[in-house]
Amino acid sequence: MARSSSQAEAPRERWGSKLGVVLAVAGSAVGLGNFLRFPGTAVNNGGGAFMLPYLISFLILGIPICWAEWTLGRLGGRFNRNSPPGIYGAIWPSRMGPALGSLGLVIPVIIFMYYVFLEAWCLQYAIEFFSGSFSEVFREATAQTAAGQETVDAVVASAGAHFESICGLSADGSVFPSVVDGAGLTVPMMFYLVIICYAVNFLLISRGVSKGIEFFCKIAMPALIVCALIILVRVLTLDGIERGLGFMWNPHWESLKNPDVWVAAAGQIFFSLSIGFGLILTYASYLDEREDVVLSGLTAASMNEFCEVILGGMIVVPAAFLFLGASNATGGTFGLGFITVPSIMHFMPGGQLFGGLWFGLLWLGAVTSSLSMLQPAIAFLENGYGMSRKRSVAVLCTICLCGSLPIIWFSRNVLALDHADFWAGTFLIYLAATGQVIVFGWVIGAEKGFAETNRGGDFAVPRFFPFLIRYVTPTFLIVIFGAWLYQSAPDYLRRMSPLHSGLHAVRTQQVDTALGGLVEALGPKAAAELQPEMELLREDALPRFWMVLDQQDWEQRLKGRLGEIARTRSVDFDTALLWDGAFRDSVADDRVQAEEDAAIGLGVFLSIMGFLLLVMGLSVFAYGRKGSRNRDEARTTVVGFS
Amino acid sequence: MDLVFLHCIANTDIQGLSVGGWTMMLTSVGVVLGLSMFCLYRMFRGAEPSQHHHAPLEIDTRDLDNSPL
Repeated sequence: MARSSSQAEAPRERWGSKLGVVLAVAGSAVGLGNFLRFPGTAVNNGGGAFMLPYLISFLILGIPICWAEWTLGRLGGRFNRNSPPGIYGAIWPSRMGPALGSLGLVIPVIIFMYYVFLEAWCLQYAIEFFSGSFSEVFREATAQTAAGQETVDAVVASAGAHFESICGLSADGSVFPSVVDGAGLTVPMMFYLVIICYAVNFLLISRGVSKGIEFFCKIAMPALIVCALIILVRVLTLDGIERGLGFMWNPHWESLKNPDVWVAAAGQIFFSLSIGFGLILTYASYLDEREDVVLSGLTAASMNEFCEVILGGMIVVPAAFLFLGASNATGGTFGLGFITVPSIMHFMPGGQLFGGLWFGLLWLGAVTSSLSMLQPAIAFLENGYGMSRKRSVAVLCTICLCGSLPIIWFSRNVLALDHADFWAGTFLIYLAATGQVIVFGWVIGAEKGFAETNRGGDFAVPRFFPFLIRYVTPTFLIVIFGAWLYQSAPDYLRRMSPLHSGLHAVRTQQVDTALGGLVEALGPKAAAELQPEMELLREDALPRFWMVLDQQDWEQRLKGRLGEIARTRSVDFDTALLWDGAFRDSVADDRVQAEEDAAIGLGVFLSIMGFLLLVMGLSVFAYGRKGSRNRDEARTTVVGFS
Repeated sequence: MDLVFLHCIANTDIQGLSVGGWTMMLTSVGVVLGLSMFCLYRMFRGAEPSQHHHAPLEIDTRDLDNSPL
C-alpha cells in the first residue's frame, strides 16, 4: 500500500533548519544513559583507561554506523519514505527490506512503552526537589539514627527506600490507584505524572516534525546543557573534588587486558549514540536530498559525547565519591540516578536547587529521546497506510498504552521493564544494527553508499571508511553482540522458564543457608580464607539454563561438596536441615514467586516477538511488493511547510 | 555535613588525580570539546548545500535490480 504518484506529489514534512535536525538527533541520543550509565560503566571498567576502548569504539563503530544511518534515511526520503520499513523497502525492493525495517519500528515503540515510566520518575524527583518535599525523606533518616547524627548509610538507605516506594519497585501495581480502607481512592502522584508524560509526548508528536519535535528540541537541548553546566561548575568548585575526579579518571591500565572492558566500551558507545535501530533513519528522511549528512551526523554525535564524557563523566561519580564514599559511587543506572544522586544532593550545599535542576535536565533529555521513538511509527502509519496525523497519533497512543500498562503494573523490581529492555532494548537493537550495516556495506555497496553520504557534504568522509563499514564495523559489531549474548542470554533464558527459576530460588536458599552454616562453624577468619572456594561452590551450585534439572541429583552433589569441605577443615557440619520438609516449606513462597516472575518474563518475550511478527507482516504488505517503489517518486518536488 | 565529608576523605586511598588521570581526563575532554567546537563552527559558518557536492547528483543503484533477494 505504498503511496501512489498523486499522493507522492503532496507536500512532505521537512526540518526547519540544519540546527533543528542536529538538535533533534542529539536529543534522541542524549538521555539517562549519558549521565548515569556512562559514569558507572567507566568507573567499573578501568576508570580513565576505559576511554581508550571507548574512543576506539566511537571511531570504528559509532561514526560509521551513524553516517550510514543518516545516509540511508536521506536516501529513503527521496522516495517519500519516512519510516524504517518504507526506507528499507525503497533501498532494498524486496520482502527482506521492509521486514528488516520493521525492527526499526518495533524497537522504539517498545522502548517508549517503558521509557515513559522512567520519564515520570525523573519528573517526580524534580518536583520533589524543587518543592522541598524531598528533604522529608532524610529527616526521617536523621530521626532514626543515634543522637540525630546523620550517617551516609542511613541517608542512602532512606533514598533507596523512597525510590522503591514511589517508583513501584516494592510491589506490583503500587503506582496505580487503589482503594484503602477508610481512606477511599488513593492515587499515587506517579500515576498522574505518567499520564502527563504521555500527554506531553503525544501533544508534541501531533504537531509534526518541525512544529513539534524540532520546536521542543530547540528549547530543551540548550536548557539541558545549561542546567548541566551549572551543576558541573558547582561540583568542580567543591573542596576536595580532585579526589573524586581521581576516583573517576585515574586509569587502571591492567583492566584493558580484560575483554569484558572492550565489550562494555563498545556497548556504551553503541547504545549511547542511539544508532542502528531506526531513529536517525527516520529523522534523516525529512532532509532535503541536497542537505549535508556528514557534518550533521558528526555534530549530533559530538554533542552526545559532550553530554556523556564532559558532563556525565565529571558530575555524578566524582561528587558521589566525595560525599558518600567509594562504595556508593559505583553502581547501575537506576541506583546511581535515583539513590546516589539524591543522597549527594542532601549533603551538597544548595542541594535542593541543584537536585531539581538535575532531575529536570534528565526529564528534558528523556522527553527528547522518547519523542524520537514515536516518529518512526507515526511515519509508518501515515506513509504506509495513508492515515492522517491525528488518526495515526491516536492509534499509536492506544498501542503504546496497551504495552505500558502491564509494564508499569508489574513494577516490582522493575521485572517487566527489565525483560522488555533486554529483548527490545538490547537484543533486537544488535540485530537491527547488524542488518543495517550489512545493507549499507553489502547490499547497496560501501563505495556507492559513501558516495551518497558525501553528496551535499560539508566535507568528504575519509577514504578508509568504505573499507571500515564493509569489513571492520560488522565484524566488531558481531563480536560484541556474540560476547554480550554469551554473557547475558543464559541468565535471561533461565529467568523466563518457571521450572528453572523455581529450582534456582530453592537452590539459592540451600546454598546460602549452607554457606552461612559453614561460616558459623568455622568462624569468620577461616570463612574468609574459604571465600574463593565458597564462590566456586555458589557458581557451580546454581543452575544455568542448560544444566541438569533433577533436584535430587543436584542435592547429592551439593551434599558431597559440603562434606568434602567439612572433612578438609575438620569441622562438624550438619547439612541435614537443607533437605528436610520444614526447610522446603520455608522456601516454597520463594519458589512460587520465582515461578510467577518467570511467567511474567516469558509473557513479555512472547508479546514482543508477537508484536514484531505482526509489524513485519504489515510492513511487508505495505512495502514488500516488487515494483512498489515508484522511481518517479524520487523526482517529486519537495515543498516545505511554512 | 562536614563530619560526613571528613569521614569520606579520611577513609579513602585516593589522593587525587594522578599524572595518568590528568592525562586521560584532559585528553578525553579536549578531544570531545575540540570535535564539538569544530562541528558547531563548521555548521554555523556553512555555505549553501549546492556548493558542497562531492559526488554526482544521481547515483545509479542499478545493482538493486539484480539483487537475488
